[in-house]
Amino acid sequence: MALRVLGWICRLALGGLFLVAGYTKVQNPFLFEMAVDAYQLLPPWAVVTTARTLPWLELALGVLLIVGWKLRYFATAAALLLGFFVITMAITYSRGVEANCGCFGFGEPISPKTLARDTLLLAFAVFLAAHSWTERRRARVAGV
Amino acid sequence: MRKAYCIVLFVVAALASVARAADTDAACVGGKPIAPIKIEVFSDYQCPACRDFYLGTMRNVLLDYADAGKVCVIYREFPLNMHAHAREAAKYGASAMRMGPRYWAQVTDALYQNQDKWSSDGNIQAVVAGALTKADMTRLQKEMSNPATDATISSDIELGKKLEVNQTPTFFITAKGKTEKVAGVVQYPILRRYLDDKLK
Repeated sequence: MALRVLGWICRLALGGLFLVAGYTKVQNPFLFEMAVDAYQLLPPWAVVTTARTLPWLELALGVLLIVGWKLRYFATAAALLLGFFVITMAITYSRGVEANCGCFGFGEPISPKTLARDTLLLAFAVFLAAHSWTERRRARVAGV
Repeated sequence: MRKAYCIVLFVVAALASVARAADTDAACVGGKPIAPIKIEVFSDYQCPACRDFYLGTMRNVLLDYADAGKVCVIYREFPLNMHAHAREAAKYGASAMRMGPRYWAQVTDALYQNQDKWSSDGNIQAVVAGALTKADMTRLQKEMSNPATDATISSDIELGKKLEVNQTPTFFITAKGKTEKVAGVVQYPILRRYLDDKLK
């Protein structure tokens, strides 16, 4: 029961945060392009493609997590996306590149704090994915 | 759930701090103060990222947008303590600006193009002297001994701290009554897309 409640909390929290993150970026697409570019990992065409796709992906994931449809797949997708964010930020930070995180808005530099926060969110997403796959397996065994 | 609320509150606070406009009493190094867009850059002459940003991006902005009257570019001195010669280099830059934007561009080009050289030997004067005529260099040195030059640098640093600049380059773009804060190096094609959108 406790795990189920925790799963609900993670689902709603992650869904809400993805919605906030996506909405902020969709509102300022050109500003988000600059945030992605500041990571100094991609050529201009890839920066534009990433910056124009990512916010919609976050919004879609946010809605799908809150709704809970096919949760095991979308929780896994959320964990993979957050894992990608954490790795990208860690690489950028370790290279000494000074850039904004661009996570939930603009003007927040990549720092141990942003890395710790995104790692915590990744832990939530991993838990949610593992929990939803376990629940599904249990339901299958029970013949539901 | 409490953690989620904390994160949301943190996001709102961060957005509010970004929305704060930068003070702009300084002269444009390119363009005119009445330009529809203002870019205010906090930069350190000894910072390699600032060099890349100036040589790769801002020089193009100065040519394509500032000279066309679309953008006013303001450069603020923000020498970091970790760079031994940054404050002195900032003095050269600020003194050149007191002589006029044309001199500022000459000195800034020379300082960034030869950053590796003077960063290692500390001989900034030789690099700047190579970019100016003898008469201009004499004028520049006179400006450097002017206490107003040091005061300009100190007020730029204070302004940067007030605006929560904690890395270089950091720049503020003001357009249509709204100011956005951007940190790090942005490539020219990407900044151009932003500027073109704001100029629509």
